Amino acid sequence: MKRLYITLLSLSSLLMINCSDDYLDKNPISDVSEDSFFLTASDLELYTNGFYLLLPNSSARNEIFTYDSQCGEIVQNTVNDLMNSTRIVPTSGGGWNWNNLRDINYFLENYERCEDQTAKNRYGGVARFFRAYFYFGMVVNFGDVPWYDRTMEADDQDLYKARDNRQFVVDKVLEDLDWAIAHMENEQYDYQISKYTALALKSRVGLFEGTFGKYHGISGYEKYLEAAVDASEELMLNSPYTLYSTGNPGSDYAELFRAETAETSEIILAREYTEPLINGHRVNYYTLTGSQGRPGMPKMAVNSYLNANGSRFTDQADYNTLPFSVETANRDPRLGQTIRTSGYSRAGQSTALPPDLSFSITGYHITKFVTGADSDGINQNTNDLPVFRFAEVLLNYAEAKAELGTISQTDIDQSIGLLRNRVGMPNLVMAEANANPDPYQNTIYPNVHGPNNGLILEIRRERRIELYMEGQRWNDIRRWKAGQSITLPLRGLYLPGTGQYDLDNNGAIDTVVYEGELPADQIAGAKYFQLGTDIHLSAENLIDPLPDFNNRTFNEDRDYLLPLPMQELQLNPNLTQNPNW
Amino acid sequence: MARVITDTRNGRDQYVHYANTNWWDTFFRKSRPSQIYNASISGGSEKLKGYFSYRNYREVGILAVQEDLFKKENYRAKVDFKLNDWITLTDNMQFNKYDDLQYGGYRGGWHGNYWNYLVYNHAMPWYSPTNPDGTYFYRSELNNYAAGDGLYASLLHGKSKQETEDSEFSNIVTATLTPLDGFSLKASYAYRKMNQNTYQRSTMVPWSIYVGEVETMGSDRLMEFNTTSNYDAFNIYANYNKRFGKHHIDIMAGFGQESMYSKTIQASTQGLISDDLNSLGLGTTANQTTGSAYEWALQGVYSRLSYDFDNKYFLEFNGRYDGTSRFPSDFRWGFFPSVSGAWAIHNEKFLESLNPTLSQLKLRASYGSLGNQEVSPYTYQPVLSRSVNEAFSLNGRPLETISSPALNPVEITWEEVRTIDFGMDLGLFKNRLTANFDWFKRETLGMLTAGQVLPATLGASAPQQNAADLATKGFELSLGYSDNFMVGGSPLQVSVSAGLSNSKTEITRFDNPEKLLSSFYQGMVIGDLWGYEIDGLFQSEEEIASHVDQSYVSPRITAGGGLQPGDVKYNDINGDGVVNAGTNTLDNPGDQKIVGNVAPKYLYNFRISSSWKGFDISAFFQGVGKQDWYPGYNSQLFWGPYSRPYASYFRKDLTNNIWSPENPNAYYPRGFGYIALSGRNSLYNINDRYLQDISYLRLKNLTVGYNLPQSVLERLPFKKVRLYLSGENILTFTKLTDYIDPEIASSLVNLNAPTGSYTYDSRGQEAPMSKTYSLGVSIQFYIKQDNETTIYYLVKLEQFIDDKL
Repeated sequence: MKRLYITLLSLSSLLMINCSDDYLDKNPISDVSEDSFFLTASDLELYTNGFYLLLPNSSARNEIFTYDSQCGEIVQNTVNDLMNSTRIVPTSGGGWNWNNLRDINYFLENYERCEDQTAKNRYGGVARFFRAYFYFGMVVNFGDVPWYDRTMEADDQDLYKARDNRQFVVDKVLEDLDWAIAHMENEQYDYQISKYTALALKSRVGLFEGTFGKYHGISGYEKYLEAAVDASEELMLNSPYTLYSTGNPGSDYAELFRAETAETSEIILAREYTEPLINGHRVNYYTLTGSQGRPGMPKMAVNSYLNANGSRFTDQADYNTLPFSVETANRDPRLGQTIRTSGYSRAGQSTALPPDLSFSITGYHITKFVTGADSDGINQNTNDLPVFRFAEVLLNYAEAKAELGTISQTDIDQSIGLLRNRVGMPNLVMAEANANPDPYQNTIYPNVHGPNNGLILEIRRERRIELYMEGQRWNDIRRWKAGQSITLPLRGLYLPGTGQYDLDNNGAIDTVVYEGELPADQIAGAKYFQLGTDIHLSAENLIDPLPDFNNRTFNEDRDYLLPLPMQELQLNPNLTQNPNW
Repeated sequence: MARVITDTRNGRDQYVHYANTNWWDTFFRKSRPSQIYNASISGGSEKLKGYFSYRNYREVGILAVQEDLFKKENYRAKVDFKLNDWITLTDNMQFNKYDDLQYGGYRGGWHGNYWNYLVYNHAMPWYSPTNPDGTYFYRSELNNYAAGDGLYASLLHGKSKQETEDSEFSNIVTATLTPLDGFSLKASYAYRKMNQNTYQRSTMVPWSIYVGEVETMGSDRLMEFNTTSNYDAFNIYANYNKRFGKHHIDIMAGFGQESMYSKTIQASTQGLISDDLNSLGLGTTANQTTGSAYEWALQGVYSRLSYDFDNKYFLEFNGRYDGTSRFPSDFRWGFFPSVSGAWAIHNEKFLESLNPTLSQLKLRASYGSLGNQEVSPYTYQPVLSRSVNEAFSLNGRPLETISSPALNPVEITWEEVRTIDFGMDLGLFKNRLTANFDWFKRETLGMLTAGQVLPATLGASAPQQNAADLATKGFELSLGYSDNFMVGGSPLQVSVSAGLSNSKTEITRFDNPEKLLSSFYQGMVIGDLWGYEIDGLFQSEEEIASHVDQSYVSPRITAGGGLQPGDVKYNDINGDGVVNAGTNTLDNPGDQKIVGNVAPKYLYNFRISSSWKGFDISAFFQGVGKQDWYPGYNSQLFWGPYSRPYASYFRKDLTNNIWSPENPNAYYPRGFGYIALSGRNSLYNINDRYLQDISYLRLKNLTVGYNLPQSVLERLPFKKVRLYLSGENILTFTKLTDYIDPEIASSLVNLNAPTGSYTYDSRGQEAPMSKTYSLGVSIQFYIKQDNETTIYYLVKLEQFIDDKL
């Protein structure tokens, strides 16, 4: 009997077990649910912080200073598939990524629950800025894209809808930006989105869609140019932004890009790089290491810099046969602040350095953004990088007005004139430009016509020079329908055959081009290049950086837009492929 | 002549290296010792029995320049306390701890697993690890290469390190009641507490390039992680076992539940006052803390009913009813029954005459189901997840953010695995010769995996669902033979056993109407690898000119000057004049076909052992009859310069086998950097030529032992003394390169990933291959008559197989 009692007593312990579902109800204990979030200003800030990863410079290898290499504005030792016209239809991916949009739309569906109206205005503006930024990127790359302004669910039939017209989408983009501009306060932020960033993006979007429409024959483009003018004007008249200048035309331009902390008098939005975090960029390494593609400025870009007196360099008959030190002397001071010219020395040092052909394949050795030698290791740069700056707004303004045909000399004085003035260059005179359009620029942009033909060419020259290496060039070519310009031969500096060269004309030989055996007695400090292996020369004795790629093509009917990935066309039969892909 | 000189370049005095350094031999050991010490004691009385043991393991790491150590200790105690003739209490306690100290670090701060890639970066022989004044080399001026991206200078500096201390305590207390004959009740409670504490420290690493100037690189940072987990389980079951004449029944029913709770705290600081002390209190800037936690629970009842008649006919029913916290409450419970039966024919009268020639003949059959609930704990619950992006700074701090919930399945439940099995056991000659054979067919219903591929405009990946059904067919066979012979007046004992198994799994349901090859599709055989067909290497310009357009599969070569003799030649399988992936669907795979299968096939093993007098020997062989592997793009060990041309170490069997006009029959194509590394390039694309056969046969273990004879032991205070020598992995037969371990390569295959069931990032270079030799002594003795003590001591020497690098 005792045994039974003890056994039953033991079994009764089972009663202590909670046999209900409670034991199996386990809710997340370290992550919040939707209901408990989006209530305070800091919730909205925390969530919108994630959107900053959409911007350029968001991660290593995504920095703006490499973007121009995709269209040959920075020449590297390999040719990418765009330059080589070997792009393919990808199976998946290929830029058709919508995850960021989902995050943004989810925010916009939920943030109104916050009761802090100031915060809602600010972060509602931030989120709409990023939705505009996201869709602008999609339109630039793919043209027509489906517009979604809500969080998609797996069973939503709109996942299978067709693409929306690009102008419909751009109108939505401008709506978002106008909302941000109307609701955000007049507050300046160095690294965060402000009303001014929204204006700067509106200026960029307006110019892009306006000129894209004009040159690709899509009607109704004028309102976009007008939007660009409006937004730019607002920034020029009613914002704290000016061009950065300390009154030193020989160095202000260079200093702007190598400043450790962004010069926020001009930089409207910067990407911050700080010392204690593991987040440097690699511009020094990129331009000072043989293994990073050996980036160099092409001769065509060098040719576009005016002479210091404002006359055109390419008007000289011998512009293709000048020794480097002569070619680069007495030019627009921005040339010497963008590449190594005679007398160049590293920031914080006094030793003059010649261009180094082992780091720069064209010999036009880029120095823009490059800081002192203590940042030469990979990803050791901590100087902030610009995302939007006031100079672009001025250029957008002048170009939009010129394309609309409403431009005046006063408009130029207030835009291009300011850029010229910073570097001590004579102003651009509209009448002179239109009276005598530059034949050299005209070969690059043969499709510019009309009464402002000469002026538009000059504005494009100015844009190319001022924004060099800032990642704008390929989008400019796309909107100008200037794809043929990237098929023009890529060239470097003038080297008339084998011999010993003193490129920077400081009295010491720095570069030797030889044939056959490496000379036994070498000159100290000089670098040696074997003709035909290390260095190739064109018929005109210009460096030919990519001798295998002198006959490149660009498909006008296809290459301005990216192909949609194959898998997506299979999954959604209503999606259509871009033309000729 | 190897030297480091001082030269004035660009106006500055700097070190210029013309060295001849074997970086591998400088930094790594050829072999490493380890030792195990173990002592155990057991004994007791009728009422109280105890067992105690202690084990200590200590292993030196691979580094020659710092002392990295791995230490492990285990304590175990077990007590059986018989309260009376029907109640027994048992307590089983274990405590394990380990301590793992590793060195590392690079220019970006802490980095632990340097085998991944750091070791392979830029450690060129012409650099010397140190400059003439003893400062460390980090980067050169001429091409700005950083040896190991700073790893090697950091290893020499020796202050960037990670130490993990892990401890685990577990206790199981069990009460066993046998109040009636044949009836027992067993209740147990298990508790386990785990604590893992890790710190990762990186310091600024001094280095020099300009004479007399010391610079620093890296980051001065300390990060600590602490994870505490509690696990507890309660089980109670009753058993009734009774024989009525020739009838025998065994009934069991029980209840069990278990739960887990785990919490992690992570904190970091920068700018520490000391380079040698590693405490969060010493940080001066950028303090950060974060944390996470999860729980899960399981509950269930189970029961078994078995019956046999006269040891001839066996029948058994099993059933489980299980609930889990990982599924929503309406989908939480699953019932998993099974039934099995057997017929022991050898016990039948009509076979009595064949005994003992036919000592066993048994036929078995079973059919049943099991459940699987392995998804992450909160799969069905939408949460906003917080993250920190260390590489992105916003207003002076790392970017902290929170993002939208993943898509969560609403209806997700147990995956059910139903198996039907037919088996036979055969024993001949008093079971000296045995054979067991099983044939099975397994159906997996509602496999938990990512569901149907949806348009990218959804903006999220497909949620985990019961998305697929699988069917597996296979067999298992084992054979054994053991016997005794008299040799030289003493018995010679010999036994041989062998096993062979194989199976094949096919997807029978998956929602992929487009039959995209990037996902599972109906009819797909698990492990199948899609790839291209290569027809050797181009040998002439004419051959290239007359070949179809293959720029789709060799974009980097196209961009770098075009095809040349020595490049791989892709076959245009579908004859459309261009080599590509078509629409990458089953209906239009372009020029892809199934080139191999990465699932292991025909797994086999055999063991031979023998003893005579005091000597014994045993050998265990293990092998895989068929398995393919395609080396991942980041396998610098396999691909060498084809992946990253600046790699520090190349395989000799690769460098000797590269195409050149003088070596036209080489295996590898003409030298061309990065063509194995980046998308769509000629070696990156899976293809039949560079698909590796990783089948192998390996002598896993060979042991030779000697037991001291009784005559000697009588003069010693010991009961048993055994000396033995063993070797592990000492022989391997494989077609794979000697530098990569086929077992490691096999372990990198992920059969749950739908994309060709294959992960590209499979390197096979995690640590060098090694052979291990051990020498051990084991001693048993009595302290008193009723107890037994065993002590053994084992010394191992692990030899790394790297001498061909």
